[in-house]
Amino acid sequence: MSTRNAWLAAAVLAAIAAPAAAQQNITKRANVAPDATIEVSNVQGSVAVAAWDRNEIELVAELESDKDKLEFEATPRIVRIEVDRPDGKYGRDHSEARLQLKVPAGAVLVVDTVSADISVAGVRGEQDLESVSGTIGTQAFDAPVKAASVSGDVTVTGTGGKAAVKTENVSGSATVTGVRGSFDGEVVSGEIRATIAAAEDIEVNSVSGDIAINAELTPSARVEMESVSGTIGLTVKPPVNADFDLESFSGDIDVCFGPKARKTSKFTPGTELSFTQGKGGARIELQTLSGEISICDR
Amino acid sequence: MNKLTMPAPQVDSSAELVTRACRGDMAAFEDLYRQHVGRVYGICLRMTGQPESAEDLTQDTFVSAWRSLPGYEGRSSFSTWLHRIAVNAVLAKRRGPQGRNEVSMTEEAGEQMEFAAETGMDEATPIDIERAIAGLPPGARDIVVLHGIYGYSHEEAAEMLGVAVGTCKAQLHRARHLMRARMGEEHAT
Amino acid sequence: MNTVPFGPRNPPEGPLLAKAAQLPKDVAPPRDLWPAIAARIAKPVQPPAKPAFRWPLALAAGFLVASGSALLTWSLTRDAPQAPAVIAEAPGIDDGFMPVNYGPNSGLTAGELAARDALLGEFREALATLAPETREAITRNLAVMQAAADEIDAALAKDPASGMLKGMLAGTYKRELQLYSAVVTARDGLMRRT
Repeated sequence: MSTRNAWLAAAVLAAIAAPAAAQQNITKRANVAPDATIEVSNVQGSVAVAAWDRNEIELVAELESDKDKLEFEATPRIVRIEVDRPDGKYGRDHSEARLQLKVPAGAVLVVDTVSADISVAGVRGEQDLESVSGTIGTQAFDAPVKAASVSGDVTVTGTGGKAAVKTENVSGSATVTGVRGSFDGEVVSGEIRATIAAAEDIEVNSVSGDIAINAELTPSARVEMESVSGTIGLTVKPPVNADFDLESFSGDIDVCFGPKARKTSKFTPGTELSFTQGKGGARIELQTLSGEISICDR
Repeated sequence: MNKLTMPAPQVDSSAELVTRACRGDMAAFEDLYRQHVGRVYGICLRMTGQPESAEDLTQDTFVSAWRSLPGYEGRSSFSTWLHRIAVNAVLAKRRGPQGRNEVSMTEEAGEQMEFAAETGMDEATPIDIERAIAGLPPGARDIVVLHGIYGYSHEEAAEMLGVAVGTCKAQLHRARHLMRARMGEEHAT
Repeated sequence: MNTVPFGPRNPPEGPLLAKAAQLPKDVAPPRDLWPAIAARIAKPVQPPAKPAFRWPLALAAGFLVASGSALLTWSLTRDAPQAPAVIAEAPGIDDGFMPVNYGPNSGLTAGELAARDALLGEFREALATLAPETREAITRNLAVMQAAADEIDAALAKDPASGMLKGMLAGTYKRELQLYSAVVTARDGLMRRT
């Protein structure tokens, strides 16, 4: 065997014979303020956060790779948790880091992951949850919630409180239910489905993804939705008292009540429809390039 | 002896001063200068680390602001607008030939900056923090000044500096580590 | 425009930066700079003309406020309106990745596209760390945005004054930037001590 081949063989044997990376199990605890800010950063695996009735944070971490480092810094006001892989090779290494946290119910939560899934239950403070490909599932109470994933799905379940919910997806879909107050959703090709009670402010934007909103409008509600080629479907709980301003460059506009859409001009293919239903008051503005707009009250 | 009681001088609100300055009222603009020079100079000084440059840049900022007043439409607060001009002035100078003279202690001493004492987090004095910030590389220092000291959000700081929000956060992350290392802290792991 | 303020990312992060926030914000210059400023102002210089906005004001303002990437540095001190640039093809990228190409009717300036291109370098670095299926999802969605940009551009050719179409194009551009920013921001978790 040549020297080079011998070296390669030794390297391959060493790789095959390398001991399995030892899993790390780490538990951390710290006393924190009831509204402490908890910041978590993970790459692969999962982040699961649950609220409890103690002014304390508990972290139970399972790190499959012994190359990963867990950073845990805690003061009563701010806790920072980060899974770090010094050589940065995440793409080819499928080792996961699973983080389970218990935090005060009033904590403010900030979570960033690449592919790790995020699940949150019972946290009543503000939440800012972002992932590239992980899924996000959380509850909304009375504080603002932002959930953004590039390709993962986002699910926000309201609990009847008045929360400002914001979702951002690229190809993943957003499902929002049981929320009151305001909703801001953005999507490229995924879908947005939301049910908003006592809606005050709804703003949804899509490129090609379809939008389906079911809303109970307050008297001064404002609804603005825009899509390039996705469809916009709006179901409004009766009685409907709103001013409508609908426009589409080349898509159809279909409203099951009120007048029919008319062409914008004889020179362009667009259609538009502006009218007041009932006593007016709420404001609804929908625009598409080629997507269909459909509105109904049933 | 009878004393005449003079009425207290009327102090115009900032909004009134801005309105008057927009109409060319130099006296109103001077009042605005007096109200805002501390923060503008503070931003310039901390971003450059050079008192002389900071004075020049502060002057440039107010001169530029006076000339740009017709374009101020009140979409942001006057102070934010002014700080944006100051940051632009700092960055423009940094890109120019004179800007290469701006140094951070990091560039002078490599990574071997020595501080008077290795202090723990709780013992860090304002002087320690100012020194730690002054010793950061320019990109990291900019973010710490705008976000850490002056309270601009990541998005606002990123916009002012002409960088992506991701870059802003990365620089802040870097700055935290560098400052901690300089101040001799250890992670609570 | 609904701008929901999300506080968690605004307070200073960590004890050190919390202390930085306590530093005095006002620092008095060693001397009164007003006389020199007044002298320079008094020189006869024409103030710049008010910039003409190409897009509706509310849209531009909302763009900056709502944009997650905040890459469009809409300078309030612009001296003159910027003429739309001829949109050049983005330089080819070895990893087969191409940013969205906006047509001749987009109104996007060279400066704005340069700001996006500055982010692209970091985005491509971050992209390389992602799993293949995530990279494919991102590439697919950029193709969706390209199709949207093409559709809008074609519509703008027929109705160049349409505020609705310009707003949609701005929205597509914003979503492209948000995508890049989301990937770059996620990489922050991987930042090493430098």
